[in-house]
Amino acid sequence: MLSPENPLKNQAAPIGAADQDIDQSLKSLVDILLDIDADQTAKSSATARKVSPESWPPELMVLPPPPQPSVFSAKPLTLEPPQVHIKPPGQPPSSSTAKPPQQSEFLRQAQNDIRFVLGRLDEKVTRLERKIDQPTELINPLLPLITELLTLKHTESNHSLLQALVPLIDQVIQLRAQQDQAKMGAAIGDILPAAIAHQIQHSPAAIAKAIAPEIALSIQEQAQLDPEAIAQSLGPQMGEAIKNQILVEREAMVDALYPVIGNTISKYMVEVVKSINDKVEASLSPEGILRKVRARIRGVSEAELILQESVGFKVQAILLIHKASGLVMRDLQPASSFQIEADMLAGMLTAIRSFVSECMTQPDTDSELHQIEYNASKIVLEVAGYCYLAVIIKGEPSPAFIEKIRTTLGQIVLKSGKAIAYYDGDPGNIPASVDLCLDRLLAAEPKPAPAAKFPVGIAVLLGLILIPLGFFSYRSYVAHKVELKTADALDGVPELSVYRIVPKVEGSKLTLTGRLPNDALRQQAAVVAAQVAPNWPVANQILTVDVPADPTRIAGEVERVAWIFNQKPGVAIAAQHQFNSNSVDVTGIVADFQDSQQLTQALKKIPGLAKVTSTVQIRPVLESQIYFDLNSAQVEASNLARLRSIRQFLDQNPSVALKIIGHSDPTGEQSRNQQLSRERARNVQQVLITEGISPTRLQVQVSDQLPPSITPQQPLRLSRSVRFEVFIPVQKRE
Amino acid sequence: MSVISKKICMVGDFGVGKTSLVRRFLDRQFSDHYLSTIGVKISRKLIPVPTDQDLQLIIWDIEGKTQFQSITPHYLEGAMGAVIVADLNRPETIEHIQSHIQLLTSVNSSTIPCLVALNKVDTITKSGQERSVIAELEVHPQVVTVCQTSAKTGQCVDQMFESLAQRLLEHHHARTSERS
Ligand SMILES: Nc1nc2c(ncn2[C@@H]2O[C@H](COP(=O)(O)OP(=O)(O)OP(=O)(O)O)[C@@H](O)[C@H]2O)c(=O)[nH]1
Ligand SMILES: [Mg+2]
Repeated sequence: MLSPENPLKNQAAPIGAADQDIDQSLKSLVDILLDIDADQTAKSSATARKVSPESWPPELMVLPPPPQPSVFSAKPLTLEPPQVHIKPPGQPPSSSTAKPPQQSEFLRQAQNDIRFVLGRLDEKVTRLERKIDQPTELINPLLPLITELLTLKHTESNHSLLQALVPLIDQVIQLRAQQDQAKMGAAIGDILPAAIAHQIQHSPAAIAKAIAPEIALSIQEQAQLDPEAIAQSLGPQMGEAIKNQILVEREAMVDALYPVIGNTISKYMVEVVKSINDKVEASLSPEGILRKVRARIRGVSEAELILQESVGFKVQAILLIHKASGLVMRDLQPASSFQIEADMLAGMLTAIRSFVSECMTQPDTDSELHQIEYNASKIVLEVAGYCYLAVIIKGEPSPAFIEKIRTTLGQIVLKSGKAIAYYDGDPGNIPASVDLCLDRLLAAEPKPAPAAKFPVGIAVLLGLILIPLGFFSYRSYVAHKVELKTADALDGVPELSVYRIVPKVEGSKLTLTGRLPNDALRQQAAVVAAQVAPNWPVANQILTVDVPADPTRIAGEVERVAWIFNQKPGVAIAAQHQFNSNSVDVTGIVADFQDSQQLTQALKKIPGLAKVTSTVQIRPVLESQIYFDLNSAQVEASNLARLRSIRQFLDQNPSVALKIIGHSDPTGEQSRNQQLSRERARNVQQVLITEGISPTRLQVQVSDQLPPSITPQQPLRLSRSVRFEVFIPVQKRE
Repeated sequence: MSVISKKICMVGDFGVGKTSLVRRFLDRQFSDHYLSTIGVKISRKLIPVPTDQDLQLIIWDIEGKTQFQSITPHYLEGAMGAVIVADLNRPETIEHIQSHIQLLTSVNSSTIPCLVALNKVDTITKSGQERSVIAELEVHPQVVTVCQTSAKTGQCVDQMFESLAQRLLEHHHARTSERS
């Protein structure tokens, strides 16, 4: 018999001449079905439609009852041969008397017709069956028929056809698509949306499950090509699917959607702001004007906005942080500002974020930490995918800058989302394009806007009232600006940044208040303030307090000064505070003489410290390099003197360690070069070890680059070298 | 040359000595005073690696599990290693080790290396009864080693953190070479 697995096979199609015949039969079959459907619809009330299939007389079960989608769609158009065989054509139905009265004569007639047609069909099928051994050959001729049926009938009774065909479409599409894509597309294109809509209504969860995994990927792809279009075409039906996907793999989803949603939201916000502005504009009634005046007097709203734009702000740090682990992937801090402990801060921020999302969240919603404010600074957090940006800003950032943070993160996630997702703690694995984006963000710093614009109309209307007020408010924001600038400048001086000095404009003077441990520092603060604000007389109200020498505090300040200096390029120092003698020994290297001077000065200014001993060396000692012959890693005897002086340096600076970096010239095979570079560095290390330096202070490294300051135009022998870098192996920095 | 950073977590019941172990390792100090950790305390330690990139441990000392409060799984996210701490004097804290490891592996990769510290060994007079526990834990696939530590005397503390650092580096290089 026919295989039951393939419904198409059961409707076996004739080949050649029989084709037309069976075509006709199927068509009339469908016609009858539709008629019944129409008839039924006309006659039965809504409740009648709910009659369960069981209550139908048994012989009617031969026909799937049209108004029952569940039965119908389960066995669509399959016309199973066994059922037909049970009731061969011609044999009258045994229980016809049991029919409910509302089953019309017509129905009975139709039923007979169908039996007749089916009987013929079955005959043909069995006849054909023998001829056909290739199942595909059997299906192929049937396809044009189905295609035609689809185009023919869907307009007449979309609903019933849909129910019948949904389960079939799958197979048909697959087969047909292989043969004639264009035709197939045209044929089913019309009803496909309806079919999908039907299915979505029917079992949204299943559809969501089915398509969800693909969505994130395809959106990401499309977002790269055309973010606008995708935002528009993300129809409401996607809701379910997206929800499901968010449950399954949240981060990937956020990554995918971030660039789109960011844009959409900001567009929306622009509209909202515009409408608010319009309203404000429109409300220039007498009351409106009064409100405006009051607002100005209290210094809120408009004034605040103007302030924001004119005062300016300063980015102190930009950290790109791995969301789950809190590890810092990038840490940008302008050299001038006080250096923030990025690793600790990032860890703490991450913990706080976790805390917020774990403990502050109501079910089914998300809490996200956006800002942390302290003193005059704030940390702005922007999250996307597997990372977030923490931007530490002094002053009030402009909305444009916040927007810039957002777009920067969008770009980073889009370009490097993968490397970020798999971050393993090595910043070297984050692509350099990230640096580019972040540098641009840092460079996008604030130029204080010129004085704020006033709408001419309002200016004319309020002219008289506003002149004094405007003057007042202008003065107040200029004053604020001066205060911020002064505070910044004071922060920029290492020895002062440790203390809290408050610059404040009072009357026409710039007053400095706070406590400093000695007069030298007090004078210095006044000088700094005078430089920043030359037009403002400085009233120096800083108190010098005699701080009793507390050794822990001194040690702490020594450490802080050392730490600040260590942030400078070319500086690697260690400052050891001796509790007994209350003195400091400084060792290490600095870039130039000026650094060395500044360092001693800064340490001497620490109140209570008795003595500063500096054996800091200026870098050039270690600018010496060891050169090698072509294809050789042997350290020539001529270099020994040079290595001895390095040993001496290490002896004098016991807290300093050395990186020994091997290079090779760029010619030849890379693997061989690498090996040579390593051997060269190792051999130099060996010499120093024999000279008595502990191996733990000697780090060997290999570089596949030219040594810094060597260009490809210079002689090759200059790149066959080993060079040195000094560093302080940091034990602890709390 | 950059430094490789790895997040590790101190996990265990309250009062077993997580904070004390970190303090001993970083500051070489100990205090008898018990200050329960609230939330997380983060510290870091640079481990110089003479032949390669240095390793920086970012240590998350997480508040201990109490009867009323379980450990916040979010805090464990992204950890590359963990120290599970228990108090040798409190058998229930040792019993909980398995569930801590389970929580860790459910939040992170299931191959996360864990170190078990059976702490306060200085207070134990007769030893031996913990041997079966150690044997059982040592065969656990995630457990690198089981140490009997004392934050008070410093016994085994450095070795413990160093062996975890060692394992982290091995892990790191295995993964890096896989990728390239
Ligand atoms: N004798 C002894 N006491 C210890 C040792 N380690 C910790 N303690 C003491 O145990 C108490 C708890 O130590 P903590 O380090 O604060 O414990 P914790 O695990 O951080 O506790 P929570 O933060 O509450 O989870 C303190 O009083 C410590 O002094 C140890 O090795 N030996
Ligand atoms: Mg603690």
